[in-house]
Amino acid sequence: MVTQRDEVRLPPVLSGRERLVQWLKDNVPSFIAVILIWELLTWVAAEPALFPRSGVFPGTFEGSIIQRGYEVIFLKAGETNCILCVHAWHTSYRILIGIAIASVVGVSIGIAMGISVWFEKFMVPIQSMLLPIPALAWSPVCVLWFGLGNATMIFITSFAAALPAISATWTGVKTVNPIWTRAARSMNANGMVLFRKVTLPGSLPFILSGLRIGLARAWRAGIAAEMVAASDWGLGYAIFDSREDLDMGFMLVGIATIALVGFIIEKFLFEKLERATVIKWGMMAEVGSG
Amino acid sequence: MSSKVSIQKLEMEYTLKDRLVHALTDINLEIEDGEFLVVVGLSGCGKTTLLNILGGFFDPTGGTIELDGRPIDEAGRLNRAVVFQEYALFPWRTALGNVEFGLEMKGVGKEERVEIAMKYLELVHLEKFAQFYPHNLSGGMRQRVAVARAYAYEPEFLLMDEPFGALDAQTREDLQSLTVEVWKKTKKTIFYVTHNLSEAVFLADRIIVLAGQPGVIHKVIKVDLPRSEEYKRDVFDPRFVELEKETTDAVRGN
Repeated sequence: MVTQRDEVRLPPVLSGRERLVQWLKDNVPSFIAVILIWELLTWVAAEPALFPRSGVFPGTFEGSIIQRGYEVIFLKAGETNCILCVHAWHTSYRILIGIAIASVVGVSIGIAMGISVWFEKFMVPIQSMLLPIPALAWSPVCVLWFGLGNATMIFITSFAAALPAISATWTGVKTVNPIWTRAARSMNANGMVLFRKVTLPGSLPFILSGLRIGLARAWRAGIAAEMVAASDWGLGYAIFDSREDLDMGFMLVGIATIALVGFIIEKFLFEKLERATVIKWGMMAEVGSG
Repeated sequence: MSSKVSIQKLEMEYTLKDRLVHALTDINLEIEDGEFLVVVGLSGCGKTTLLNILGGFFDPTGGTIELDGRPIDEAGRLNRAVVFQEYALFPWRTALGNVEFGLEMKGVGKEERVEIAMKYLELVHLEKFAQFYPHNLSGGMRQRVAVARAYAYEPEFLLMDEPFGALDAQTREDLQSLTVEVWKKTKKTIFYVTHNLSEAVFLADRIIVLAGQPGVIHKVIKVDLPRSEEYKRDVFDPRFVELEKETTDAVRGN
């Protein structure tokens, strides 16, 4: 009989409540620090039109960022309810469609580069030329091609997201641990089956990190492009437009919303995806696990 | 016993950084059906190269290999499975999923696959860990899953490349015992590469000593030691010690 020494490492299982407490402990101190630094700044600058108070302290609500935030979320602007939500929604769907297109196109191109030497040789110079171009540089071109609005926005965001997706996927496919491939080949896996069951899951950590970088780039390029090429809606447009009225409160609320929505998409899309795959498989460590 | 694999006048050369390496020359070897063959030799003697040729990862530059009397290039690849020195489990599959892999490749249906895979996990005493991912298992457990995966494929011929070399001594001994146990139950032909000579004497029906550069078969040692009911050998038997000494001398070139 074989001696059993089956030590196993499993992460502790936390309840929903414990996870929330842990999450607050991990995140709240950073937020508090940012607010305090801002308050210090408003006090030093002493110019409420340019540096409005945050409004977290009692008695500072009037004219504060929080008040402006309250107005654009809860009060009607003309006929529109929650004007901030409408701006955020426009920005989000443009960027998510861009990301979706970039994922399909970028990952496919990256895979093709990883598999076919011919295609790799063909693509590498093109990729090197496209990489240094900021997606925003395409905006005047796109405006002339597609006009102001969604088509231009989606082109720019998908361009911004596709390049990191391509290069990460390419690297991932090229660096799949050869021992996995050999083990699979020894059991007669080859062709598409080998690709689908070994190469693709084996390169998933790279693919996901490429998409994550792609998302960040698309998000930034998208907001910037809205300032130049969007009509009437979108957070970038709203922020840019607020300068006309010296509406500093709305600008800052808009910027905070960009951060928040970006954070939520990353948290609920990417972290979920990573937890369900590469983290569960031990191919990537979880945030904060060292 | 009949000859399962017949290797005739095998030659292997390859280029490594613009240098021609003559790895193996004039290898002639008959492997019996159901035999436990262990190959030993110093680093660079070509033992892993020989395993890779039998595994179909490299094509030899000369000579023939026959399986059941037919050249392997004609009969297709050897029906073989490999256990590697490094952890070659797929991290994205559970222990069970890993063991199922080879069966999937053979087109076995889901239900039957799980049944067979569980049987082999039981054989390596890991049935309780079927749903665990490899990264949650210890090194020894992972190699046991790798062994189960190779056996579950039900190959006629099993290749093992220093499979337990990276493990601590105690775990290695456990897995050696387990390997002979499973070998006897499943009656596979095993080609096992190691640099651990006591392991070689413990496991082998026959030990092949490779030496030189290019590697040749320097000596063949028949291990005439009885196995216990659990197919184990007594490592304190004077004959065991003698054979280990003989193997050591042969590896050193005497």
